[in-house]
Amino acid sequence: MEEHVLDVKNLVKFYKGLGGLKKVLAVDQLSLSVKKGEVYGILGPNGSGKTTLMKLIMGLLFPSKGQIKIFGSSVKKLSIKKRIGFLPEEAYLYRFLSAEETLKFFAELADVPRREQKTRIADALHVVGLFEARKRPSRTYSKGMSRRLGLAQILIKDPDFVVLDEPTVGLDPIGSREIKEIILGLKERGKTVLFSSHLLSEVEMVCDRIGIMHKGKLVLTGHLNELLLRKNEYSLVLEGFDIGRQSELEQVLQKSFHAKVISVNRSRETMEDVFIKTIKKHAS
Amino acid sequence: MKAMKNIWAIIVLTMTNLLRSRVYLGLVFFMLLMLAASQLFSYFTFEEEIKIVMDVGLAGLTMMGLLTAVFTTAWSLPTDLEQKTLFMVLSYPVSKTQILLGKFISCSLSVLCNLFFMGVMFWVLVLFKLQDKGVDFQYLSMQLGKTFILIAMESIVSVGILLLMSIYFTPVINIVMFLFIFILGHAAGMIEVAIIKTEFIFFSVIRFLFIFIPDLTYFNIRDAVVLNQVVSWHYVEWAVLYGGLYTGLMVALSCYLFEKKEIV
Ligand SMILES: Nc1ncnc2c1ncn2[C@@H]1O[C@H](COP(=O)(O)OP(=O)(O)O)[C@@H](O)[C@H]1O
Ligand SMILES: [Mg+2]
Repeated sequence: MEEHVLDVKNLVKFYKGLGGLKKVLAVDQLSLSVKKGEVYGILGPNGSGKTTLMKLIMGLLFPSKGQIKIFGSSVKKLSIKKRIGFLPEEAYLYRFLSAEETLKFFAELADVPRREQKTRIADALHVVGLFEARKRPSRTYSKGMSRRLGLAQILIKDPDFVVLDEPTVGLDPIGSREIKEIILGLKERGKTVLFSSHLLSEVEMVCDRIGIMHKGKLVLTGHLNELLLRKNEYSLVLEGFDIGRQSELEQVLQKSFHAKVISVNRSRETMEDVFIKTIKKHAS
Repeated sequence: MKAMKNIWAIIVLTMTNLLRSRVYLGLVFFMLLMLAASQLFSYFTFEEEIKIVMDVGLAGLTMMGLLTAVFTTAWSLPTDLEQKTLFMVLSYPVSKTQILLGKFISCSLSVLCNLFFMGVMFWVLVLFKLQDKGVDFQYLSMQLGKTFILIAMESIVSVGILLLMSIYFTPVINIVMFLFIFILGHAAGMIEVAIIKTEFIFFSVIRFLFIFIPDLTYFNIRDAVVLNQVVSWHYVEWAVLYGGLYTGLMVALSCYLFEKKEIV
């Protein structure tokens, strides 16, 4: 049997309104499982219940119905939490601590041996690019820096399963590219990642599998490739091709391969690539 | 073992927060103010003066303990809940009980530290005023020591009550409710006597409520000390035991309720 890192079954969550009267149904009969080594993206508009789902998984909220298993046991078990890393919607930090002190505190909780703490903290600070600012209290950090400190906390802990709630929201393209790269790095090291987003391109870039959430339900799930790749359609990228000879090419393809050309376009850079290249050029 | 390590990490965190916030500056300022106030009375006759210094000083010490308890405890957990810092903390193998115990210990420690320093200052001041006056220093120090212990106990009971209420209430509501409990707690004896004498059902309900309100009069031996009445160690032991049990109950209840609370 394949090992499931996360197993959610028929999960329901009501928020109690004022005086416990009016109830808000935030998660509705949701089932979901994430396999070992997989990057799973939850995609959904604002208010669809992504954050609620993540808080339920982390045991911050309690399910109204249904059950959640992580590595086969309940999140209530403390020892399980050694193997899970969490980045909330905003990296809510202790404002009076510096990045270094924050990571020291988390390293203690994560049982990182004392003699390893120093190097691990320094490494994590380098990876997320906060080494220069490590002594400043975190209340002076920008939103992006706070988020990166939140990620550093996960790197220090080095868990097997990482839960990230909208990790790139509110960041500039460079910040969000860096975070995507960190996610891909986690995947390369065999970690399982569950993250939510309302940005389609970002999910497309890093996920193996996605689930689309709407009004508390998962309305579509599947492998990215199954969902996005068109059957029987391929694109060919050519260099040094004379566009004046397009009809010749079409004839050759038709004759020798029985393939029909559907469209011919010039390749484009994405705006993200242009932006990042420009900034990097000016930085160096 | 891991539990101890977690609690220790929370204590270090909470203490760092307290020391870096302005709460401590305010309290130190208050301490100096009290000390200055006790100097104002030097134009009385000697007997009057020493009585007033004792009276004002011990009342100030009690206030100091309560203020420290209020300013450390009423804000500690609500700030964490409001700033949502617990989201990340609770993704580590640390329990809510351990967090609460860490907070309780930190708040109690700061109360004890403040009381200790102010108590020592007060003691030195009294000894200084009484030198060459033929007073039995050892006896007086003993009396003061007993008073200090009970003031500390009352402050820690306050930390327990404030901690319990801080799970559900914002600091301001918490403080108002605490003041209410504090006043009732000091009037407990009087009110209870009055209630026993009546037969109305209504009053038995109120009497029932008093089971939950600590009898804080046990901890108030200031008048006895100022009037130079003997307070036995035996009494102090029982009062400390009572305070300890009550606090233990508050902390246990806090942990139980906090475990059941969702972190929204
Ligand atoms: N603390 C709360 N109390 C009541 N309703 C809430 C609370 N938090 C979220 N909700 C509601 O639950 C639904 C899902 O919210 P959320 O999980 O934050 O969505 P998302 O993260 O996808 O934007 C929304 O309708 C929201 O209004
Ligand atoms: Mg959200």
